[in-house]
Amino acid sequence: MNLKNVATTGLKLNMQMPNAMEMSELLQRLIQKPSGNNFGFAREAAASIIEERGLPGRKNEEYKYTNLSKILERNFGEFAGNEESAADLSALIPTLSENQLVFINGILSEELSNYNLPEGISVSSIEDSKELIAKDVDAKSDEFLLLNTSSLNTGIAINIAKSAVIETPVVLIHITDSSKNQAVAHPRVLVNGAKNTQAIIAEIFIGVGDALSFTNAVTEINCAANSNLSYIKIGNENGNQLHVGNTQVNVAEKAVFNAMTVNFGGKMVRNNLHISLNGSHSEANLNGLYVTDNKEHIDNHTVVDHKVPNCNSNELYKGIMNGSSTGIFNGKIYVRQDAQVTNAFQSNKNILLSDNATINTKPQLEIWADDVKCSHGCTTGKLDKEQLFYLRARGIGEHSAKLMLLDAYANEVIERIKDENLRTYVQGILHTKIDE
Amino acid sequence: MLKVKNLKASIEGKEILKGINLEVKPGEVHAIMGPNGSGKSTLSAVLAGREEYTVDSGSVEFLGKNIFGSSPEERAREGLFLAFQYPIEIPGVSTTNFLRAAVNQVRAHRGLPKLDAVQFLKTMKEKMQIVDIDQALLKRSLNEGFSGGEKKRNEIFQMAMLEPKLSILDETDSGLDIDALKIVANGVNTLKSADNATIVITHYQRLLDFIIPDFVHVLYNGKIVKTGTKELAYELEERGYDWIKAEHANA
Ligand SMILES: Nc1ncnc2c1ncn2[C@@H]1O[C@H](COP(=O)(O)OP(=O)(O)OP(=O)(O)O)[C@@H](O)[C@H]1O
Ligand SMILES: [Mg+2]
Repeated sequence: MNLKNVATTGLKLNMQMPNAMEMSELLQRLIQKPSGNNFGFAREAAASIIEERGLPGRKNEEYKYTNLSKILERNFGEFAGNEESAADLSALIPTLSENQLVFINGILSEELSNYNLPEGISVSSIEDSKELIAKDVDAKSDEFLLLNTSSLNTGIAINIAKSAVIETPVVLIHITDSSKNQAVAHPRVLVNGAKNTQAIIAEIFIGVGDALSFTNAVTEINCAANSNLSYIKIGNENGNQLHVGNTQVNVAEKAVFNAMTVNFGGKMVRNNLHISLNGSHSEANLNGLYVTDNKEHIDNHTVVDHKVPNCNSNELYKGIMNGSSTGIFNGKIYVRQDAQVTNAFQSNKNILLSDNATINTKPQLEIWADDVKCSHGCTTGKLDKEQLFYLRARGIGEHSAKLMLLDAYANEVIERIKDENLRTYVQGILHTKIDE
Repeated sequence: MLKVKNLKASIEGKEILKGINLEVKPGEVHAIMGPNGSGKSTLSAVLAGREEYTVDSGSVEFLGKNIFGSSPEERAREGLFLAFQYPIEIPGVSTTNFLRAAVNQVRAHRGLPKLDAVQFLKTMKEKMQIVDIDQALLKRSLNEGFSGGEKKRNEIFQMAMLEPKLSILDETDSGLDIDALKIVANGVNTLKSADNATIVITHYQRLLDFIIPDFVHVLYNGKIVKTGTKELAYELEERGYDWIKAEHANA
């Protein structure tokens, strides 16, 4: 199925035909080809690359633990179109900000959205940003990113004007609804923060429905010089949902970018967060929390690419895993030859609440510069028995003692969400999830 | 209040307590002394319900009930308190929040209504005075980065908040300067009443000048080998443990 390695010889290619057939059939089901928008060129270019390469499977190093194609091939039937919901979707939508845009299966719903954008920020169709999209159609791009581009239809661009300081977060709520049928969504978001801006953007992914669904999101964020952008991604999907998110971030000089990736479940979730520090004296902070149970599978792949001198990056991902769930953390840090005086720190910590839960963690540091302070560390363990006993010896019940410790553990990440509504929202989901 | 009969307990197959007998009545103060490694902390851990230890035989009654069926939290709610020799640090949990949960769960067990935030703060302020502890300390993560003395004070403060029937103070005096020692001892004495009792585990007779014991026991090699009054503590201070060890060389 992975055609990349075999495409040079016709013979081997023929031998792969049965799989290749399956793949192109699958792609036909996944690629949505709406008519009448301006993306024809980018879409077709992306589609042709992805059709040649196929979706990544087990043999692909990057996806070897997260074999989404297999699940999709086996379970994703004839796509019937995203039908209108059987569920009351408005009931699922939290109120987190005065600026909320709601997307159902990737399409903006004016009816469910509620926004009153302050001066300095505007939302437009992504169609106005065609060149930026075309830039992503690269033979080396992530397969799912290409898949998203090949299905490009609507999508939004958030533009933050020069020097605008936006206090209220812009919250995008994506609902993937498979209550009537299997569903597929390819949400696409572009955030452009101009010079000296300050803003918080949140994306929340919620699932509803019993049928299999697949959300394949792409978010691109451009942080111009001196800007300070925070991006919060919250995944709260259900056990029927597959999710791939590609978040690509470019950070210019003296800009600060804060990423927060929180995941509370999903059948199989893959987050690719790729941050390029392109301008000197820029900074990236990456925080993550994943809380898994049952057979959930959550995979976080992060890349911080230090391309220029005098930049800092700081990464902390924490996991709480229960049931027979799987967590994957892969953190790449590249320090390019020019990137002297780099500070790059990475830490991944995990608590396994069950003997059947597994975590696979892999730091990957590649350093070409020599004046570099770089460190990484990972820990995996159970809840601390001594701490648990101390709390219980004061009369606190075992269950609440555990919750208290898990809460404190997760809070090290959550408290870095500066916006109170979003922080409370995340804490609320955390409490329900760990209290099960 | 507490009746320990022929208690034997082990950990990882190694017998540590080899037949402890001890009775504590309301209003009494008992001191337990003994060389390092003799089993003093093990005894307190077994009484508090630490699950890593196996009770091999014997019985423990607390307030007339066998305690071996109950969890650590149930024992605490019934009124057993252990001031830890080495208080644990818990990052991310403030002393205040932790104690509010503890106090309210203990109160619920005793059929008392929850304390609301205002009442809780008021009680806290009262009890803080007893051990002269700073409120800033209580807002920080539990014991994290506390000095040795601050940790010990925090233990006694928690004791004051939880109003236990039986308190076991495991070397609460270790690491305290003389002023702190007086404050802690004074705290213990203030909380003392005719209905509650205290077991103080210590290496130093000095503490017993401030907390006057009714009985002094010597724990050696997993057994209480000698019981006396506070004069015994003076004798130990002067002569050390060699004579006791010699008497019980084949114990
Ligand atoms: N997990 C364990 N495995 C093996 N032996 C243990 C374990 N825990 C405690 N012990 C042993 O039990 C014995 C009693 O220890 P304990 O802590 O009760 O002594 P103690 O009287 O409190 O000493 P100290 O005065 O130093 O505080 C020691 O020899 C100790 O090494
Ligand atoms: Mg001890």
